[in-house]
Parts: sequence; C-alpha cells; structure tokens
Amino acid sequence: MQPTRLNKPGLPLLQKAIVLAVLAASTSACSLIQPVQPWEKGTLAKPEMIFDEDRLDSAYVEHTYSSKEAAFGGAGVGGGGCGCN
Amino acid sequence: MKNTPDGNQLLSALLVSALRRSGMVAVAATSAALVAQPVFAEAAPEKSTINFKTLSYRDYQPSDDRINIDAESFLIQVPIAGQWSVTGTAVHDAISGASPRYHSSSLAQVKDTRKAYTGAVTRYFQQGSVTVGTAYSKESDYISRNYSIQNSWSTPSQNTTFIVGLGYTADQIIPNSIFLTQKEDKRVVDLALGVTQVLSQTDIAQVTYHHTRGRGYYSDQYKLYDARPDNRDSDSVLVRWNHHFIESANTLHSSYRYYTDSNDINAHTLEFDYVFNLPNQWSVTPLLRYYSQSAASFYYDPVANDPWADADTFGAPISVVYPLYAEGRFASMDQRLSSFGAITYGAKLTKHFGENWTADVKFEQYEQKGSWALGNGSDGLKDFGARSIQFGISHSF
Repeated sequence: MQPTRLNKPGLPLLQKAIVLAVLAASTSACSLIQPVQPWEKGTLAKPEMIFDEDRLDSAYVEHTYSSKEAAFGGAGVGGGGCGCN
Repeated sequence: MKNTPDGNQLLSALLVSALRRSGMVAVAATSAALVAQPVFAEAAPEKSTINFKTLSYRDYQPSDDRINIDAESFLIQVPIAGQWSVTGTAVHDAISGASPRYHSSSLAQVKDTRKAYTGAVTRYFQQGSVTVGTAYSKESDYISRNYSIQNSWSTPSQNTTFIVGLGYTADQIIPNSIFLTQKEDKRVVDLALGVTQVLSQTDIAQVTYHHTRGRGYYSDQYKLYDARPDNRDSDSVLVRWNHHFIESANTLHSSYRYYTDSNDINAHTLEFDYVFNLPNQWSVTPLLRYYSQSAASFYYDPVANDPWADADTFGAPISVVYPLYAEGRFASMDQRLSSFGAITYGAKLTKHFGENWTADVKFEQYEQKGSWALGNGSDGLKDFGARSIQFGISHSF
C-alpha cells in the first residue's frame, strides 16, 4: 500500500530553535556555577545521586511506558525496540 | 567486605537459584550487554555487579483485563584491567491477555514471549569514556537489532560532562494477521547529545537532547484499518535534577521531558521521587509522575453511531476510516495515539545489607484518562490503568 499523503519533514524550525536554545542555555549557565572541588564531591558520589542508578528498574519502566504511551526515549541511545508499541 | 555473613550466603543462594530457574545464567555469561547507557562520564567501576529483577505487570480497563507481563531480567557488569568494563543484560518476558482491535473495544487474545539481550564494552580514559553496545530482541512477530556508540568527556574539573551517542536500530515485523501479508522492515537512526553539570556539593543536573529518525513499517498489524506514515521523526529534551538534603540525608529526583514527533504528537512528562533514608540501611522512595500527550494527526475518535459500523465494529468511525484506508491514506484508531493524560504513583522500598548486597521491591499504579490531557483530550475511550510490582536483588563483589 502506498500512502498518498505527504509526510511532514521533521520538526518546525521554531521547535528546533527552542531545543538548541535550551542546550545552549544549559551550557552557558555553567560559567555562573561555583566550581566544586574534588574533595567536596562525597555527597555527589552517593548512589542516590546517580542518574538511572538502577538500570533494570529504568529498563522495565521505559518498556512498559512505551507500550502504552506515544512518547519514548530521551535519556540516551541503545537498548533497541520491541513489537509492543 | 572481609567476611560473608550467613544472611549474605542465603541471598546468594536465592539469587543463583532464581537465575537457574529463569535459564539466564548461560546467556549472561556469554553475552555482553547494556540497558540504555547512563548519560554521564564515570571512572571504571571498582567492583563487579550482578543484579536480578522480576516484574509482574497487569493493565486493564473497566470490567476487562488487558495485558499481563511476567518478566525476569539479569544484569552483570565486570571491570577489566582498571580501564575497561563489560556489561550484559538478559530479559525474558511472558506476555498474555487481550488487546483491543480498535480504541478500547473488540478485545482479541494475545500470547507471546520476548527474549532480549544487550551488551556493551566501555573503555575509560582520564577525562571520559567510549561505549560500544548492541541489543537484540525477539518476539514471534518482531525482531529488533540495535547498535550504538557513545562518547563522553569531562572538563578538567570533572564538573561538566558532555555526551554524544549514536544508535542504529534495524527491526523486522513478521506477518501474523490478515492486515499484513509480507515481512516489513523499520530502520531507526538516533542521536543523543547531553550535558551533565555539577551545580553545587548537593546538586547535579543533566540536559539531554534525543533525536530519532525512523523509516519503514509503523502501522499496527493487529489493529483494524491501521495505516500510519512510513516515517517517524522525534525530538525530545529531558532535564533531570538530583538534590541531596544534608540535614535529613534525603534526596529529591526531579525530571521533565518534552517530546514532539512528525505524527503531530507533543507530550510532556513530569516526574518526582524522594528518597527517604531510614535507619538500619532501609530507604523508601515514593514517586509521582504526570504525562500528557496530544493526538496524532491521523487518529480518529470513537463515535456513537456510525452508519457503516456493524456489531463487530460498534463505536468505530468506519465510514470515515475505511475510505481513507482503502485509498492508501493515513488513519488509526489506536488508543495510544489519542490525546490523554496519565498519572503514576508508587513507592520503592530498598534495604542494603552491608556494602555489597541490596534488595528492593517497587510498586507502581498507573491511571490514564482522556480528560486528564493538557488541552483537549480524546473522547469516548474507556479509562485505562496498570499496576506493576518489581522485586530486585543486587550484589557487588
């Protein structure tokens, strides 16, 4: 079957600009942040301060959400697809 | 840990016995693997980690059960020579229950199993790391293969970490219904760009931009008159922030994701969880999540009385959807492409045994309603809910 309707070519320019602006703002904001010295990072090294610390939990959650919602991803590449969505 | 107390030996025996039952020991030993790579640079792990987790999941609508999933997953991460690590995961899902042929109606029985393996090798450098990964997933009607590479590097202070990831996924859809007569393919390329920033001694934040570009078969072969564009491009921005409270020793995790795609779906996800540290190495983490999406441009709502609908298609807008389908235009009555909002609440209870053993249990309740969407929600769909419980055990050595 050949769909006849033209597909939209990705995102509107405005939305792409917003995405780039968020990234740029997040990196330029770094210059305003007081640097933390290596010996001051004890708290940051705690397991609960690590993003996606429990990776099997994250994988289950991502998998079950993507089976019932349209949005997916965001945290990084890898992992592959499934027929559930 | 110098000595292994009896409690730890018991946990070890339980873990090994659970792995044997799930048939994952051989798989885990031979396959390198990863779940989606965490987006931050880190030093090579000092210890090996094994982690086993089960999931019992059930979703439902009023008066009908939908899908049940019983899953077991296993992760192993091993450091090698101080500069390398190998990570492997294996997942086995048993899926059963009923899936609607359109909207939330005409439930059809389904039964399948899914086996998925991921593997990754990471090389660590002074200021960063490179990870190469692969993933394979197989169901009776769907096979997915993924390859990815990710590079992360930090500033000399290690306070800022940048990450670039590239992925390629090649999927095969195997015909198993009257709506699909030959094998179909789907190819997805994805790119992730991220920045992780230490904000203070108690704050760390991360911004990730994720773009995917997919080409191939996106329709659902089990849905009635389902015809979707053969491309889907998506963009998302995920912002995460972890804050630790020194006085209480508790931690707040916050995140927001904006998602938009070429099907005209825009979605917002806001999530919080709060780790209460309790005495004797216990912690409890309540969580709250809100999700909202707009409908796809080719999604059609249920109708009360369609002139073309019969007893088998009652409530479906057949006089609208069938002509579009017959002409090769786009249409779908999939609830997942409608406009809705959803709330999840739950909690995770974690117990550490010394430095090297952890056990956890997590409960989550999910509710989805058209009226909870930001803006106009879709009408006429039954409410939808899900409940899940996880049990996990982790050991490092």
